[in-house]
Amino acid sequence: MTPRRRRPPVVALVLGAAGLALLVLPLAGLVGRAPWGAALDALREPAVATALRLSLECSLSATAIAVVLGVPLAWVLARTTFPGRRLVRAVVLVPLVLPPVVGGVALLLAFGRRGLVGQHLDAWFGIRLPFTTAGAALAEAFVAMPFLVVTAEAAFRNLDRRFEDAARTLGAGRWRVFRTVVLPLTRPSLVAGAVLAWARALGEFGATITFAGNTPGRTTTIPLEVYLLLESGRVDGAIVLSLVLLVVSVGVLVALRDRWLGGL
Amino acid sequence: MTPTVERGLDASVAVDLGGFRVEVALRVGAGETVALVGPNGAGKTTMLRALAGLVPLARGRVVVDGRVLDDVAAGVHVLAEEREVAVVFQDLLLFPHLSALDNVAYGLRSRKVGRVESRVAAATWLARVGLEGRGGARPAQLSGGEAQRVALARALVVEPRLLLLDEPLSALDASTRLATRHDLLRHLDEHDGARVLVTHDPIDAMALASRVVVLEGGRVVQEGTPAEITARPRSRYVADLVGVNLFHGRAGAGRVDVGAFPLVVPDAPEGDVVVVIHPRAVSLHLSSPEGTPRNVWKGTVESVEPAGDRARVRVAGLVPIVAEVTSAAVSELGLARGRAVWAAVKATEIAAFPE
Repeated sequence: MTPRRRRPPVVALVLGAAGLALLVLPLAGLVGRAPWGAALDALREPAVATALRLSLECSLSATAIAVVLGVPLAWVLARTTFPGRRLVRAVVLVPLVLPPVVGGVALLLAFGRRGLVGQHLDAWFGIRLPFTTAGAALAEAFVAMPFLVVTAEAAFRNLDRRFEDAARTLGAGRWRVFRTVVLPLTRPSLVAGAVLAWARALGEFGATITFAGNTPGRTTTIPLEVYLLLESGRVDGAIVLSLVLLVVSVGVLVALRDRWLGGL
Repeated sequence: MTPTVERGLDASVAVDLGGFRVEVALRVGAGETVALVGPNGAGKTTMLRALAGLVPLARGRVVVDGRVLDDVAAGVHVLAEEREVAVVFQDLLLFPHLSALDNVAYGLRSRKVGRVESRVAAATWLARVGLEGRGGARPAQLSGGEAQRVALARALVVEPRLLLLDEPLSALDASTRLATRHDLLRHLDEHDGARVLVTHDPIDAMALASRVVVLEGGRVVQEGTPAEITARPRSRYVADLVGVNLFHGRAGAGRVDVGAFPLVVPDAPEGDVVVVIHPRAVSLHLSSPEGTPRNVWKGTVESVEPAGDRARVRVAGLVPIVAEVTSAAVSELGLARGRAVWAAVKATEIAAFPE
């Protein structure tokens, strides 16, 4: 008997369609309500333009922090063994699942003026992070770095170590091996991780508003500006800024589609 | 006793591999090639990695050209990158993101040779291995034979005092293999350091090395010239793998004179050659066989040594040869000492390479 292709059950089709609608309808609503004619004007509004610039600054700084600190961390996790390594890996993943507002509270307790580290930063160097642009960048780095670390660690782990052996027998010391062999061979993954971290930083809301507050021109990034606009009834501006974030998200998805959708 | 090696490799090492110990003493003179052969898991590659400084020794010493690279008792360990030891790896491991030229230049750049100078030297070496004008190609664009030659050039350009080759020809198909083996032999001859070659192919070992060291279960079970090893294989494995027929002769016009009989070997290089015939390539018949084999001669069975479901049959005659046949053939042909037989070998089954 030849196997007959059975039609999928109706229940699955109906629930599946409802699920898809749940995901698509809000986006359709956003695009449908967009004040296309006034979009450019809305973007030129000083508060919006400032939020855009600030968002770019903070998210790029956060990405830089994530790369500079996260790549070495990923390398250590992938390439060394030390007691408690599994615990460290788990800790790195915490910000991925932690509610961002909790992250913000935690940041305050660590880097706030009375915080564990913050009081010394203030007393010794006069550095105060909460409610500053640097603080906003730090909050974004906190939530974004795990994306980079996870991606980079997998890349380091999957790299055939014999390429490094080959480089060493050709006289390359550790740093040269890393610079000329490890980095170039893992670059696609590292770039993907950085893009992912940047996208997460750009959309960061909870940790930022908790730790850095919502001061226009200083810590009001795009997501925070969207919130302000919506609160004050200027829906058009909120929609336009939301569209900006949507476009960036879709752009990231397209850029990384081979990594995420490659198996499809 | 082997005389003390002044130039070359003098190693006596033990390496622990999770409950398995590889223990080998090896001496290789400058300008000499020694083949390390043995079954999978015998510890051949581990030994190479130890000599390259890529795995720590449990015990022992490694000295190359008088320089102590490892001495566990004295706490000496020279890092892999500081040894003048180059490796041609089994999968070649050409850097996929670099051009062939930059792959070859890599070792020079690591040793602080200037960019331009490195590239000139790399281009010279690419030309030497017959890859002039291929310097811009990425490893993925190279054929198997080309990649092998780039790997060789990459290792030799730094003028290593010790060259380690791990199955250098295993990635190649049969036709490329023959040509590449000839080239490899020529380049090895021009290198004045010591060479250690790991292979599981007896023909590679015979062709490229002047001495063969057989490794089994982490130990040296036999050591000697190819002729000594083939004449008296000391274990079942050695007999199977290295127990090939080996002749010295003079080649010309597609023929090789070995003793009283000219063997037809179409692609034999002119001059003094070594001829290798695998025992399984020798067939035995009661009457002169019809058809393709052109190398047919008469002989007398000298001995029959059963080995599993096969037997090694020694045949005396114009060309004394060992044939490996099935037990079924032994009883079918009534093979026993004194039996007159015809031995036949296809010309394509004979490997000949310059002495």
